[in-house]
Amino acid sequence: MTLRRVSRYGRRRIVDVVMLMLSPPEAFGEAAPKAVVKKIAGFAMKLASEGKLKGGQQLGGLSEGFRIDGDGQSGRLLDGPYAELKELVAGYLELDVASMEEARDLASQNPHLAIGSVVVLPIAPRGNG
Amino acid sequence: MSPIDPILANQIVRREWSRIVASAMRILGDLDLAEDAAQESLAAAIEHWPIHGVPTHPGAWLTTVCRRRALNMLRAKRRRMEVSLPLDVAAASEGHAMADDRLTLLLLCCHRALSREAQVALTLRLGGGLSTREIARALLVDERALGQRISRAKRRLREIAAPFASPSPEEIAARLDVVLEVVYLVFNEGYFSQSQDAIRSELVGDAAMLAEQLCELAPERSEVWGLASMIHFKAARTASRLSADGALVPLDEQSRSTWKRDYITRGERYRASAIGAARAQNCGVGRYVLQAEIEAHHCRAERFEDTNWEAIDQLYEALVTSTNNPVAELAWVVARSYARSPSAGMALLDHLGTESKLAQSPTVRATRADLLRRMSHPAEAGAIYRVLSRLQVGAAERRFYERRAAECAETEV
Repeated sequence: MTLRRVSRYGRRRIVDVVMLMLSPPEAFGEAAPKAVVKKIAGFAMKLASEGKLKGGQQLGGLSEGFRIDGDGQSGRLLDGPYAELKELVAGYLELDVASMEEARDLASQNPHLAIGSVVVLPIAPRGNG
Repeated sequence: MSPIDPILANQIVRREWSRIVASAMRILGDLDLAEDAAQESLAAAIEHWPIHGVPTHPGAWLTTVCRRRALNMLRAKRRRMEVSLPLDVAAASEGHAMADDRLTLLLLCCHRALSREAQVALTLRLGGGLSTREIARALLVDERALGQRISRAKRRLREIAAPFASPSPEEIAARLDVVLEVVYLVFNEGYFSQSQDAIRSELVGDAAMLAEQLCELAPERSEVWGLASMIHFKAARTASRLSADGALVPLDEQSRSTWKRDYITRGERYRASAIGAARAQNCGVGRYVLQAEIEAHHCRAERFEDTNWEAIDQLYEALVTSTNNPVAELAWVVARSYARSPSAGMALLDHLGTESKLAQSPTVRATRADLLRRMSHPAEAGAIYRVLSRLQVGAAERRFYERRAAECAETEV
């Protein structure tokens, strides 16, 4: 006995997105308000319970991180990732959403909005030839 | 630093889900209400755990919140009905045999009145704690349709007033058979899926977890240990089954150093428990224990050449005669072909083919092609592989057929 494997809806329609959380340098990493960071963890846990969270990380290490500007060849190494940047990627979540509308709804609920912005981009589907 | 790992925290809740729902069922006797109470405990965890950390005993924490909520719901219902319901609150407030309740819940999910699809969905939901979306992905159905399927299943159980109580001993055995089949189905879908990804390890993990849960809840049943053993032996080999370019790798080419030792150890332990339980009950071994025995032989062989095919051949014969499983028939053919010879395997395939329902299925044809290849008939084998590579199969399977077809073409020259 087998499960009926292909539904009448055809191939599964899934959108995978990355939700980037951007912060100004003064609210980044260790400097981020702890209450907000905890609320984001709760937000992520809720998404996980709904089967929407595939992964994610908080980013930090301002002193270890670095940035290289492309100059057409090997790039010009800058000290620290934040020079000339108004915002840094403070973290990201990888989500399984039913549509970009749902992604928009979820983004608007992200507690990170209290300290920065959220950018959502679909992950390009891989061609498997 | 992140306060908690959200994915890990959710996994903890999931592991406890059947415990939480069962405790609410004991109080409320209604699946929908019980799930509501359980959802409340999840909401509380989402609010508290990021701030205070995951508690030392998360199961107890969640159950406490859930029971409190369930009791409140019950009191509110009493007030609304303005009658005094015969409350089994005394029993509810004791921590009486939690394990029994979890098993009762799983058996309820596999009630005879429900369709197989409904049983699978309900078991994954209440036993595995999976969300609607995850179950929909697992079963390759639309999320909304899956939600409706679960609602209908719960409604059906309410309509027939299925009791939240241990069924009779005979009914338990029958119901447990269904639960095992459901878990087996989930495992198979993860182990070799017809969807885009040939291997879906989350499903394998879900099946393994459910199987281990059953071992905890029904330790006297050898088949329960047998299933857990079989799943772990097979799951140990997952990493070696796909090549770097995403093609299926046959057993004789799998890199055995990638096989997970800890899974194999658990497989052995569960197998021992299965045999012990069968002896204690003075009964024979069933289909899952037989499969566990077969998988044990594979996992113990250091190299493909060391495989004890004679033993596997006999085990498959026992398995096929006791069950009506076309997949096992094909595996028996392969075992026979290595225990004796490819032509002996072919003879068995022909003998079974007349009775088998899957006479023209891709797997039967692929088996035939493999035997022909080993019997030095590359032209015939290649022809079958070429046809197979044009069928609607998963990418990993197709790549394998293409590769074999190319090999046969080369040998023909």
